[in-house]
Amino acid sequence: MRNKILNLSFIFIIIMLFSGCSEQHQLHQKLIIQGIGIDKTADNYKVTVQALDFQNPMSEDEPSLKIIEISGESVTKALDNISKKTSLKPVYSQNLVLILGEEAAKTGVNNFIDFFVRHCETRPKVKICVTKSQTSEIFKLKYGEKSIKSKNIHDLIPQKLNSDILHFVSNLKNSYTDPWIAWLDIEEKKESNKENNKELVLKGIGIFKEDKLINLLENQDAFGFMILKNVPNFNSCIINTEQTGEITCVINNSKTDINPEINNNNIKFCINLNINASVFSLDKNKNFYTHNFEETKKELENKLSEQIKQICNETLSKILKLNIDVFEFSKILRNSCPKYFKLIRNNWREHLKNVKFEIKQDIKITATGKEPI
Amino acid sequence: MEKRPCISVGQIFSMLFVSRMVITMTYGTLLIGDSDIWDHLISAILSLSITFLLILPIYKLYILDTKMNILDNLRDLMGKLGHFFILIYVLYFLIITLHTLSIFDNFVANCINPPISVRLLCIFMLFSACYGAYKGLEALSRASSFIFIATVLALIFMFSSLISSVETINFRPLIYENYSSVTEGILYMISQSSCLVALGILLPMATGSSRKKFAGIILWNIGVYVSFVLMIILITGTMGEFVSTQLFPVYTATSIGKFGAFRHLDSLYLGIWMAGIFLKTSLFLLLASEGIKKIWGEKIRKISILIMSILLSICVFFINNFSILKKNSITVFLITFLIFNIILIPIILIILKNKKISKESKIFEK
Repeated sequence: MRNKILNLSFIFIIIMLFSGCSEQHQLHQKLIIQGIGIDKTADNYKVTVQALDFQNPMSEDEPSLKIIEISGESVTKALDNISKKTSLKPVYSQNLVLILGEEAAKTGVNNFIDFFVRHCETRPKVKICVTKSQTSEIFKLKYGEKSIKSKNIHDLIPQKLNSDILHFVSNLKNSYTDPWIAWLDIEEKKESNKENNKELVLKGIGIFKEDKLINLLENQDAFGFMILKNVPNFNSCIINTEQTGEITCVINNSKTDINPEINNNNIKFCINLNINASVFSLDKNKNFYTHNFEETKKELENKLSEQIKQICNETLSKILKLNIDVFEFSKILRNSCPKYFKLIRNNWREHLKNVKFEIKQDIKITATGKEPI
Repeated sequence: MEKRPCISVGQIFSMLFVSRMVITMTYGTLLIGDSDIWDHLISAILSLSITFLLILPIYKLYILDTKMNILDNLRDLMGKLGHFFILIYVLYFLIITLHTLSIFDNFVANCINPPISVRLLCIFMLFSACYGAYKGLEALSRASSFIFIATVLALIFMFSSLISSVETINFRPLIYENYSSVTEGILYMISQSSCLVALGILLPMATGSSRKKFAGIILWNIGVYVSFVLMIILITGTMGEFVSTQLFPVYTATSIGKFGAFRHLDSLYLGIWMAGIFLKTSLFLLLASEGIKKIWGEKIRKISILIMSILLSICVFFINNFSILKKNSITVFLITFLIFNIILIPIILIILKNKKISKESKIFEK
């Protein structure tokens, strides 16, 4: 009997303690953050947040998107102001993307990146990018009738580019390497109606020296960077031969293998590129599948090879002139020639200027599908 | 005749495996400071061999009398002085429980940031463990079977989800800077081997042949350190220098891994880890109470579990400075205490036991 009374009182205490979710925030009381943009103004940080709005849903199943602009002396302070402005509890675990305004990136990310590294809700795989536009403009961009979603922005950044907090901070923490991130920007559509004539595109790459953005690579430079970082489908090469006419080659797959060579204190990196490309837009007046198909393919491969080599050479020269190591040459040298790297690592930046490189490429072209129509 | 619990060899080692893994999962900057995790790969291999050496005295003592554990031997061979040493073992188990709770406290504060008080959560955990210890070894070992399976599945899932994200460029040459990280790694790994002391008490409680138990020791140790090695390879390979920014990199790694449509499974791992923490604190409270039982009997044992839990929950309120956990002095203290419990005392007991056996055989001959 005594035991029963004890058990019952114990259960009663438990029931009183476990008072359900009375103190918990309901979904409509939370601000599920999907994307964060950071801009630098003269003396403040302006933070734009795209979040799911469960208070005013679009339909029963779909929450609407809410864009909140806040500012503060620091990014953390600005983010703290979200609750004051909306009376909602921000939730960062669903954040997909962090967009840095050009000025904020140029001022230095060390001022605010810590929040995204150490806050218990933020995740290391959040994608990060830079933009020349105002970040709020990006979040306000319309895709047809609807606003652009952070998921769309997230998907625009290629997975293989490793433009996420994890890789960014990892390269930032390494004393010898420098980080890079994707560069997204708003462009006007060439053919569209007047209302929604803007679209978000992957323009290129933002490269950093330590924590500060120092350059934005676009067009061929960005293409070269993407090839060297094994990111396919960024751009295409146009090749013209007598047999085939003008042909567009799209890079489907690239694999870069970098090996260092040291001769008389001179460092040379041999860069082996293994590329698979597809050919499209075959001229209908020319027959690609002529009786000399293998010969034509060989010629195409050679021409593409030359073009890619030139693009990569230019990109590498341009980046090395900036005295930064976004290709992780220091890590490669450390892993292959540890003793030598130990000797030179204190002056790595000086050595970087004089680094030589040689690009060898093995390009295979495939022409799947039918003959030209 | 004292009633012995009836548990299998597998259950003992599954309990010990889970108890060891919950600490391994919290491996990171909190406990090792700035030590280089990648160099701990060598530490893990060396620690495996050292652990085998550390087990020898306990195993030898067990072989001399397979029905008696260290506490029985202390009472039997040392009399009143043995009671004092038993209390030292009790103190060790309580210190380890407090250490585990402080890691739990820190983990919850940093990685979950719950709306309720972390201390309160810690006390809830402690009282659940108190209930577990009160229920006894058989109940705990049954629970451990489930937690063990969940832990192993979680580890397999974690390894397979991270393997595709490994970047070999992050693997720098081993011992690139100096040997200090290797030494620190060994000291850390050995200092966290409190399960070896538990083994000295649990080994005679299991049913099964000595051969089976010896195989269990080998498998358990290899399992623990292979998991350690794999964890080091995976967290270094996936995170590179990012590791140094994280207090609990293994937990961070769980949020990176993806396996098909499955991703962001950190909350799932969290549940399994909490179950492991419950098992470890329950087990160590139970072992401490076993010591009390050897001195004052079964009735006091049951009361002592509650008293020890209350004492520990008071101590929890005094854990304010977590940086103390990575201090060398703590590691050295834990190692010294460990060596005292698994080397010094067992060796003395072996000598006393051999003397007793030879004395008894002489009497028998006469």
